[in-house]
Amino acid sequence: MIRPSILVIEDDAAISRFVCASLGAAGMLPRAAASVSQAEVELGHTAADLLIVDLGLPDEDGVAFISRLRRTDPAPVLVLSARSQEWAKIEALDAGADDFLAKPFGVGELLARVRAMLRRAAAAPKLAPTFSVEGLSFDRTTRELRLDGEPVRLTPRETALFEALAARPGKVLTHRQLLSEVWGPEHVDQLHYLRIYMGHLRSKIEKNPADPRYLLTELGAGYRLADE
Amino acid sequence: MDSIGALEGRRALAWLVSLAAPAVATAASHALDGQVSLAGLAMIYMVAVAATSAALPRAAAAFSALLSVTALNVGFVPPRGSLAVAEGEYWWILAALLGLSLGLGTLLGSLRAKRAEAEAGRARASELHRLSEAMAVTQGPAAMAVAAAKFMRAATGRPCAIFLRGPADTELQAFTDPDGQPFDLRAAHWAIDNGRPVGPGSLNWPELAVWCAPFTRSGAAGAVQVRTAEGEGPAPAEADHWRALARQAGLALERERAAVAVARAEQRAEAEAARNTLLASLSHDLRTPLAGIVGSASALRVQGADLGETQRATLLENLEYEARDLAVMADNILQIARLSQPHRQLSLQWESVEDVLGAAVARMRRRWPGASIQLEVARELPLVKAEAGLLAQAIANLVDNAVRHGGDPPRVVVQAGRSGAGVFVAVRDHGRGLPPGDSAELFQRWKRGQGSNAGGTGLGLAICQLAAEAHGGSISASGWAGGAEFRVDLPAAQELEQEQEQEA
Repeated sequence: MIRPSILVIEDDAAISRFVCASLGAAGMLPRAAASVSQAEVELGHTAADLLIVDLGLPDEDGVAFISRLRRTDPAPVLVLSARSQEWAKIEALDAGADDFLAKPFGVGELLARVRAMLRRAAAAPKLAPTFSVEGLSFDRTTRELRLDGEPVRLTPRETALFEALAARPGKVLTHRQLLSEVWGPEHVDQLHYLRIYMGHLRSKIEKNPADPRYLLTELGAGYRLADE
Repeated sequence: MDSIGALEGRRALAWLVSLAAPAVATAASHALDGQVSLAGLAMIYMVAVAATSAALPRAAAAFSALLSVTALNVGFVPPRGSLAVAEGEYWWILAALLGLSLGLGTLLGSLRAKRAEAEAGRARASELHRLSEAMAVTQGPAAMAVAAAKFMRAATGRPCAIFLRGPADTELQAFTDPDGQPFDLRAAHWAIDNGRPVGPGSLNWPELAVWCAPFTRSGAAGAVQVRTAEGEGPAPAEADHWRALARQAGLALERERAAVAVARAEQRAEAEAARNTLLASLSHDLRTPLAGIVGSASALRVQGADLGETQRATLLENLEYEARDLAVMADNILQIARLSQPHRQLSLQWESVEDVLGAAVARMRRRWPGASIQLEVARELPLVKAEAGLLAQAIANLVDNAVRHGGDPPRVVVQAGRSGAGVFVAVRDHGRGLPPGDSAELFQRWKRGQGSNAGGTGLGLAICQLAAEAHGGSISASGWAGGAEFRVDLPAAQELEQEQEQEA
């Protein structure tokens, strides 16, 4: 298998070093860039299979960089955010980032995210007609959801919500993105709609809704559908 | 107009009386002529002159006195019918009458002036007193300035303004009465900077249309301004009075500002003391994981080769956990700093308790893989308005605390359910229960669990309390048969129920 090329855009040398070291040890090809301009030079040379972007870069706002990148480059983006960058993190996800890691993070978390994102990117762009993960399956054409082979009865709104999550399994979808897709752009601030319907969905498919297996909470950011 | 008419009427009457008095004296003298000596007649005129001196202004009284002397001379001093005087003795009588009457007039006039002055002084003193009383019942520099402007307006009968230095010491703020009148900021600045009054009636810029005086000669905190006609200022006595009023208002305002400053300084000192306590407990809390990190890292570096595989793995694990604890502590410190601020702002959103608890418990399960952390959430809990990150942090702190004090191996149960109008979250451990004493003390940020060297942060529970309160809820600690229980009560979001139905 070809070693995936990862561009690590991080200005903190210690973090950049350890991220590159562990990616390299995991059989990937990391490249380091300490600023957006450096990253653009690197990308000009060779495209990356995945980008790891710190939100506190010296020369440009990471969110602006991500939304610019998104227009031309479909490579998945993993955002690294500090505790004080909660808002920037959500903006980055809204701008098209796929996932995030809050600092400090361990190598285990990092590699798990990176591998999952690479796997998803390899499977894209054409989605399989059926999404399935451990006992749960969703037929994307008939919009039928089955749990352990039994059909789950969903209301149209619940179906739309599940469909939105299943369109990008594993990816963090922000509250705004989900509200906009399921309820319409004028409802992006009606967070309680989403909370209530997520509760309904969970009560129908989760064994223990407070400890969900499929519909995962990204606190303060959004939800994701487990894809493994 | 009326008062001017009355004044003219009074003046005319005075001159009439000044004519009438000598006439009456002449008539009386004529009646008594022959029975009374010339000296006696002179006494009759004297009575008339004394009466006019007492009753009339000085000019009229003097005129009346001259008229009386002339009438006595022409009417009764031989040779009668002419201004000539026959004998030296008569000269003497006439001179005495003239001297006495003019002297009396002057004396009474000056007495009257003195009395008027004293009355004006008394009126001014009482005005000053009323001003200081009006200021005393008002609180706050701004309100006091408004009151002073209003009072000055009543006292001077003209629009007035109080200029007050702002907290930044540069800006002058104007409080005017009546509201919104234009005043001269430049004049106020000049008066304050130079410690002297400006405007008409003063030596500086007398052509201005405002009169302005600083509160004090130097370092004044403000100034008083009175709108006058252009170049038409107060009389000297009036100007003195206005300055006295300005001084009085200034004194009261300065006193108020000093009181405010003292209160603020006390507050600052209190905050400072709290911060110092916090810092002291922090440095203690920080040292615990740091000791572990330094120890583990140095053991690995120095003795790494001699250590067994398992020991190395344990040390590395220690290192990671202690470092992660430090990160949690950094988050806690950040929250304490934020929540201790007087004007803290939470970004509250609709949250499901299930989501928040799920995230907090998942985090703690990763942190404490050896502990049993059970989560039981009642179905159909109402949503709460919360800041998800903060609430999850608080709950995680409670779970962390429970694991550290929750027996060996630690068993913790996290429960959430409806409680009356809200939602409760209870974290129960199976440890030794609460330390003796007031359970409320547990939440004071510098207190640490007694008899426990299990590490952890003394800040954790303090944040739980601050977070519960910031969400409009409360926290309590109690013992149960098998250990301790911490319970957070949150108010439910009632306004939502309707919307929910509409949506469904």
